[in-house]
Amino acid sequence: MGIRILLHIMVVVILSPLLLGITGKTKAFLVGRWGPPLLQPYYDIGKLFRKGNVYSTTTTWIFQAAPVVSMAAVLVSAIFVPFGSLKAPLPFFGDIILFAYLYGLARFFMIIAALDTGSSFEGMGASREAAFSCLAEVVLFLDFIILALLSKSLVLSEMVEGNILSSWQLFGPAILLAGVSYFLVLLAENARIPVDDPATHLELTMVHEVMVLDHSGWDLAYILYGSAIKLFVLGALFVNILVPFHGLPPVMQTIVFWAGMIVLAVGLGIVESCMARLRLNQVPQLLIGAFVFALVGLLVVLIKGV
Amino acid sequence: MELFLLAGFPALMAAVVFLLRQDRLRKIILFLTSLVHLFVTISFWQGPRDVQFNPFLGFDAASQLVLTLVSILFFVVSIYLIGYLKEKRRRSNGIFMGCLLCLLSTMTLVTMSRHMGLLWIAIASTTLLSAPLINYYRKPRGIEATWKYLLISSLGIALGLLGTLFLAISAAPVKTIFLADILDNAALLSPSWLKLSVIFLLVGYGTKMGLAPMHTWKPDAYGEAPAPVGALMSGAVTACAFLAVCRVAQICFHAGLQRFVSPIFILLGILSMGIAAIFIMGQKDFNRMLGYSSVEHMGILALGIGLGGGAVWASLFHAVNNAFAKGLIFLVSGNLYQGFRSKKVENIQGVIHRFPVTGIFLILGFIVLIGFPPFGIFYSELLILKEAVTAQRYLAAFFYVLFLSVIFFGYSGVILRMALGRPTEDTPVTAKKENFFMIAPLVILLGVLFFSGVFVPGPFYDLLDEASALLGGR
Amino acid sequence: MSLFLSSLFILCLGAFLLVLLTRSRAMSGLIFLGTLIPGCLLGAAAALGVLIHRAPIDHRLNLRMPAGEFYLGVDPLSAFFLLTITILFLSAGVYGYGYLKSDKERNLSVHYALYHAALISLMLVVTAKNAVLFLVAWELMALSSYFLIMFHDEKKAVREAGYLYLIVTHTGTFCLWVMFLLMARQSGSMDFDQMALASFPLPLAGALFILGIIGFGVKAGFIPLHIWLPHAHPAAPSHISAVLSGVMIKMGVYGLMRTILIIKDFPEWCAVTLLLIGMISGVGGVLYALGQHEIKKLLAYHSVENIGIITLGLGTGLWGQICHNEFAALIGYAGAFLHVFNHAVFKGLLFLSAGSLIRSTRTGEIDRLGGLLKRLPWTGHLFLIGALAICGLPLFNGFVSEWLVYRALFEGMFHFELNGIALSSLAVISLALIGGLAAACFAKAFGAIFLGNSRSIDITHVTENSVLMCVPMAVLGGICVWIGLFPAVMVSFALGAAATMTSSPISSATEGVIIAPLLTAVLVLSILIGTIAILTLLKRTAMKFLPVEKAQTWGCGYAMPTSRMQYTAASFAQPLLQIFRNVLDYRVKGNRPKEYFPEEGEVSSRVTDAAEDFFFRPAFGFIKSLSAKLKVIQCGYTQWYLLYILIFLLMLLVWKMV
Repeated sequence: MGIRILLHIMVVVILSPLLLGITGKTKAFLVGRWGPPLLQPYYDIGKLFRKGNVYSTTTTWIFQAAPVVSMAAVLVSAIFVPFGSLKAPLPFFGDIILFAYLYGLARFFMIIAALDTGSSFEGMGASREAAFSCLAEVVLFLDFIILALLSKSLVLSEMVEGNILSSWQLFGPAILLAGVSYFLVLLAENARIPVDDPATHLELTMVHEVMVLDHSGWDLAYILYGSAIKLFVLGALFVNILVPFHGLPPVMQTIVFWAGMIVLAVGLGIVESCMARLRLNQVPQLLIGAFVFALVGLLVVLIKGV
Repeated sequence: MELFLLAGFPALMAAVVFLLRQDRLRKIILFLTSLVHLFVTISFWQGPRDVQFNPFLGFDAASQLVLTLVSILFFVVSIYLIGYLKEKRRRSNGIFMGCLLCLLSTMTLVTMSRHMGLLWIAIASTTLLSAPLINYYRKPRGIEATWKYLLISSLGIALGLLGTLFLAISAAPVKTIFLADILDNAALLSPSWLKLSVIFLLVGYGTKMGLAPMHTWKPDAYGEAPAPVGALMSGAVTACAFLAVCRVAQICFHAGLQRFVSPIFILLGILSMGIAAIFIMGQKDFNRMLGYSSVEHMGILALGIGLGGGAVWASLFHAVNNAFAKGLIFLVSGNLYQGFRSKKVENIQGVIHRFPVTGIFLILGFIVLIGFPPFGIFYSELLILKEAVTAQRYLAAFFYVLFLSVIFFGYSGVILRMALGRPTEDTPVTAKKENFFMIAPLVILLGVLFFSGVFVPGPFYDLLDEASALLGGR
Repeated sequence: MSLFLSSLFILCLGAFLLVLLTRSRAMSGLIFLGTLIPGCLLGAAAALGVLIHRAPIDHRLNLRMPAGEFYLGVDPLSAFFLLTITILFLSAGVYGYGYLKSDKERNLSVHYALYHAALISLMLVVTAKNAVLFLVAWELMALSSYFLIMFHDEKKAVREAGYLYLIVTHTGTFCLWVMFLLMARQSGSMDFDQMALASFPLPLAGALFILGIIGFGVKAGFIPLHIWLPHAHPAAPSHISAVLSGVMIKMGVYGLMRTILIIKDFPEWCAVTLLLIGMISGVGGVLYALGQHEIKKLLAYHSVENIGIITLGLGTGLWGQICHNEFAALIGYAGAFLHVFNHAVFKGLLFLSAGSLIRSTRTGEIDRLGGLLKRLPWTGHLFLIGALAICGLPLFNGFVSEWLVYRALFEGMFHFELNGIALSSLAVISLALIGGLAAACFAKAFGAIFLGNSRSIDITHVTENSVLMCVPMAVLGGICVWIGLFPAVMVSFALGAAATMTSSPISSATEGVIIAPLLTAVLVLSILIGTIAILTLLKRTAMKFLPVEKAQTWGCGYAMPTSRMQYTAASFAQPLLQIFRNVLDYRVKGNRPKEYFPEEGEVSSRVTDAAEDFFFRPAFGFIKSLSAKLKVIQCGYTQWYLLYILIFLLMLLVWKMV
């Protein structure tokens, strides 16, 4: 058990920045550049690990603890998600709630850390993060409801593994709608375009990036690592939902899953290259759109009968 | 001997008081007389319940109940008067004291009378004797109030007399209107005359009791009367009138007219509560508000009698608690008047900070009157509602609850504003603290109320049971 | 039972002595603590005994009350509430002693005596087994809490809040009168045991349910009956707010539970109503809270929110009971129970720390504060624990109970009929929304008050409060963490109480099925703690070799930022409130800065309470103006008065004689 958990976590720790690398490469490629190397996110984080810290005199321990807590929380959330033939090591009935609330914990600490600096920029980012994540969480739960209804289970890995294939056959539209809305949540939660632009700082319209303005060194490294992990975990869940590979033999499962992850990363890159960031006041509309998708999906499930 | 001590002795003492010159001596005589009265009354508790002194005068459970509360209340007021009349030296209080003693005597007569004619006479004389008491301060408004009181009450008395006459007509086969004879031969009474008589008696004695829409003298009279008189009138005199109304109900019960009379009682009750609800809301004068509160409680009594069954018991229990509660709150209002020289709510604020003891009793009086446990009014209100719900009289129950709520809004708005908060700076306030004689009665009354709520003594319980059995209740 | 009775006796004795000894301050404090502590401990011991053995005990006192009987009993349902009451009253009481000790002006023994009276009445409410005794205790509770709220009666706002509380709660009580009397009519007895034996036809059960919802809902603070709550809680001194919000409003929940236990068979719409109330109160409460900028008012609205969560659990429980799905019922009720306890603990903690902060800074306006974590370390950190717990975040107790409620809702989703599934889904979504909004709200409150720099007031002289105030808070904070990390004991207590609700003993297998996932969750949480520890350790070790500097917060190039320029709580909440502006009456007004060199400007935002401003105040005004209009009856002319009598006489004659 312990080894399986460790293995799971190690996979996440080692592979998660790669996803960002693939996305970055795709984006560069699409605009006709070579772009940074695939391993650039590792270099970035590695560089930060060698840097010292600058702390504002206003801050308290919360400022320093938040990166740790948030990275730990997203890391632990990974153990509920199966990665191909690597099954979730510690599933339990109702783990989706803990899964969602671990992100809540991470977010809460990031928000108060932003407020800890006393900077109005970071306060602004924190405020927006709080607003958008509220909506995103609701959509996430709606998607979970659809999956739970289809699988009659509250175990995250069972919900995406068990009978997702037959669900696809019976309730294809519902899962598709859930998948679309989940993808939008994925974008919002990970501060990707069109909700947020990870490539810029310091714009008044920014959400996630302004929250971490004052962080440096190891703290910033943890934060960046944490967001890479978050993208990886949520992305893995997305692949699990969309690609019903669980009936396949283990080797094939692994191949399909990782291929799916790469496709996801590339897809993200494509989305980010084709779209501009939305105006801030349109972000809630996007999320409400995701909500409506999921709601329609739920209605499909309810009407067709469970 | 007992008969004399109860009814005659106070009248005799009244004559003595008229003759005496010293105010202080009068107070002592008043106190002693009421003490004697109280002792004699209590002595009856041990003996048999039904006592017949002569054909006209006697006791049953209901009269004993009312007599006891009258006697206790009068005793308490007589203590209070020692303190209250301390500073009034300009005028002799002979008439005042004399009338009070005579009032005690006539009230005793009301409770003891076993003859409907005598009952009427006694009720009428309580009216006459209480009228001079109202205008103690000799102010123009007092005269107006007295006049209104006399005029409206006279109409009521006149109607009561008519009712008594009709009763006599209906009782032609019985040949007397002794209560016992009527009750024994109730089947012989002529129903239509009896019905007519019941309506007239109810309106007549209802006026005395202060049921809406015959209540209109109450706010004026209670508003202008000195506090101890208010206490007596709203506590004891109304209880006597209630007893008279109970006699009517008793006759109806024996004559099998319950279905005829109970809607009237219920209507009177709900109407009184509704009127009280309207007028208590936003009332600016404390004593007037107490007047309307009295209307409310009389309404509850009537409602209880009208609902019958367990509500009769509750109604009688309510009568007792209401008498003491009214006594308490009126005496508190006396303290307030002495402290603030005003009855206006806006001038009386922060009592609990300025006069802590009175303030506490003001709040407690409020708690008692509004029907919070552990005081008796809570139980009687609950039991009356219980009867209404059990008998499926949902409309009555609805209005009952509605009016109780609205009354609560108004009541708590007024009293709590007076009791709490910071005293306003510009009101003239006497520095004088309440003296002992003005606190002790409050303590006694509160004690009685508390005990009747938490632990009803056995004999009292039995007395209530028997009295309500007389009226056809359970 | 003797434990419980002796606890009652000690408290009564204490109250009595306190009333007698109004003169001596030192004595009254000693008596207060000297009776409160043993009284509460004995009461808690009695409750624990019942919860552990799951066997009810009862006792009849031979007091002759006019209508009822002094019949007390402690079953697991009562015991669970009893435990909650005693724990919170004990800590809030000790805190209150520290809070008021330096107040030299007031007569504290009356306040202490009222505190005892409130405690006694609450203990009686949860243990009364006779409807009349219950109502007596209920009214005493309303009364004593009213006077506790009126501690600062010199303030107009306090008086009005108290008045509102009193009339609203008393009006609600009348509904309870009718409800219990109808029950008594059906069963022929005022005893709860006898009532429970009677059978209630469904329409009657529905009517009783409505009466119960109104009567108990007023106390519990269901939207839209919650209007007294946001006024009364800020008006009271903080330890009183803590018990008001922590346990007093839970008595509404208790009453509903007792009603459900007595009636048992309900039409389905009752469960629907409960779920809807839960959702509306939950989401509405937290949205209103988000719009508040005064800490205690904010906390008061959060009470409404948490009552909503409890009601969701209760509604699922009831629905499960109606559908004969005992498992869902069990979890739903257990979630409701545990959340009652948890909310008492963390809301108590939050109110106490809010009180501590108000006492130190003399203000509760969030937008004037800031940076207090350094000045008030105990208060600040304990507030943080409370905030994390109330948001339902893992590691703290709020998560456990919310998890149970979620679990129950999902259980309902799996096993109920179609409308049950739809409603449960809606409830899950609401709960998720509540969680997110609550987190935003408490990030706002904690961030604006304790982090950053002070916005308007000088905090250099602010100091932490006395040990007497910090220790009770620390105890409550400890309970939050304890349940968060070791939930088994309290969950099994809650399940015991829930089994009382479903009237069937719970097998240890079922209990295991419910508790086991929580234990795994705890395992995951311990991994989380381990990860945090490892990451911290790594960072710490690395920092030894790396330079660490101190500097000002980066102002994005602006050289002279002032603390007034920090983001305020009002602006923090703005995006969310803007999103929900169609539901709330959210208004931003003010004099915005104009031109290039603006001299002054101000902006303020406000959320008005729809139920209060658009329904109850107009209704109350209507009653007032109606009564004013009808006052013409008493016109002052005696002729008219005589006419009334004659008309009435005539009317009676026509009615009865013709």
